[in-house]
Order: sequence, then C-alpha cells, then structure tokens
Amino acid sequence: MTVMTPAMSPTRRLVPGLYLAAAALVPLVTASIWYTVFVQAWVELSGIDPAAAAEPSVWEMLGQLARNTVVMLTMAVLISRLGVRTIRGALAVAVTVWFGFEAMSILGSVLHEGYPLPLYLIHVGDALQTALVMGLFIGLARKASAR
Amino acid sequence: MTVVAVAVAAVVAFIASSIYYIVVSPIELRALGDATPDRGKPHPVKAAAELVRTAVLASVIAWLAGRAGLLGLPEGIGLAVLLWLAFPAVLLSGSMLWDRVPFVTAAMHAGDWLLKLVLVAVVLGLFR
Repeated sequence: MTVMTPAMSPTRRLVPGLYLAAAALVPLVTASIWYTVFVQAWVELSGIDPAAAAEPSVWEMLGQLARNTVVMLTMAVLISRLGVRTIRGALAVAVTVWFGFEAMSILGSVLHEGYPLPLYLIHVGDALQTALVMGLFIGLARKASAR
Repeated sequence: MTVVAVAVAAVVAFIASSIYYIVVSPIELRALGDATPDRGKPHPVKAAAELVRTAVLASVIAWLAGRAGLLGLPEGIGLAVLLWLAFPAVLLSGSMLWDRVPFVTAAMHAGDWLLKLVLVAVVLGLFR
C-alpha cells in the first residue's frame, strides 16, 4: 500500500499550475475593468471604433489570452532563474520588467510619433496592473512549489 | 565595469537603431503612403531622450542577465530574444490588435527592438 504524503499529493502538485493559469487569465478581467474605466479617453485618443472597443470579439480575447500567456511564461522563467521564492520578490521582478521593457517600449511612440501622453499613460498603466497581477500569481506559484 | 558596459551597449544600440530607421523608414512610407506616422525631424532633445531610454533598457537587461547568470554569450542572446518576444513583440501585437496600428509600422518597430536587445546582450557579453 502506498502512503500519500502531502508533498506527493496530486492536488498539491496542481496548485502552482493553477496559480500560473490564473496569472494569464486574471489580467483579462482586470484589463477589461481598466479599459472600461478609461474607455472614453481611449476611444477618443486612439480613434478606434467605439463599438469594437465596447465589445471585443472572441478572437480578440483569445489573441489577448495568448499574449498574456507568452508574457506570463517569460516572467515565470525569469523569476525562476533569478531564484525568487517570495511574492515580494516576484512583484519586484514584474515592476522591473514593466519599467525596462513595457514603459520604455511605448515611450518611443510618444517621443517620435506624437503619441498622446494620456493614451501612453492608459496603456502603460494597464501594462503595470497586468505585470503586478502576474507577479502576484507567479509569486504564489513559486511559494506553493517550494513547500 | 558594468556601468561602462551599459554605457557602451546603450550608445551602440542607439547608433544601430538610428541607422536601422534610416534604412527601413522608406519601406514603411512606400507601404502606407499618407498614413505613415509623422515623426518630424531629428532633434537633439529627442536624441538625448532616446539615448536615456536605451540606457534604461541596457541597465535592466544587465541587471536581469547578471542576476540570472545569463551575461555570457550565447545565453545572453537567448535572454534578449526571449525578452523581445515577451515584451516589445507582445506590446506591438497588442497595438495592432487593439489600436489598429498598421502591420508594417509594428513590424518595423519590432525589428528595431530585436536589433537593440540583441546588440545590448552582445556588448554586455563581450564586457563580461
């Protein structure tokens, strides 16, 4: 007879994976809230179709989920390679990559293409909240897997 | 040493990026015509801001690569490509998806980011 210790429990082994899935899925919800709050400014400044902004298609949402998954997996690899095992550490990595890559990336459009600063702040704010949500769940996954 | 490596990496990436846009911008103009974004003329303030932006990028890569033990070559290049895929490439795909930015413009910027990230990784690797 095999005795299942808590460390061997399949349920416990699933927990980090569930946190990682949440790291990709939850930002879909938080970003929807974010853009709902700023929808008027977003539509006016970017000149996109208000109807498309109000009701994104299934394909657009799947595309967004795929994008979130790529970012989440990269952040998880980075956090793992850096040996981070705490939520605070994971959040610090998330903020660092947000600042170094996402905030800097979009800033180029402001500098060179006359991209409106308020629109930059809307997008970069969304990128920050997404990075923080991902950092939180990846940190939880790291803690769970370290137990 | 790290400060010097970051400074050299930033200057090299800045120069390469400037040459890249001189070469590639006519392709975008040919593809988009009047819809091409107006980037105005080069200005010293814009150039200085761009150099600072590239230095921030180089600093973050140096920090990440140093702490993750990926400063050497070719692993640094692998890190650069991974970072490019996860951040600039994902952001630019989002600008096409949500802000209707033309593919040619997004692809042009994505190429610039790949060039910059790989060059920064190579310079940091050479200084290691």
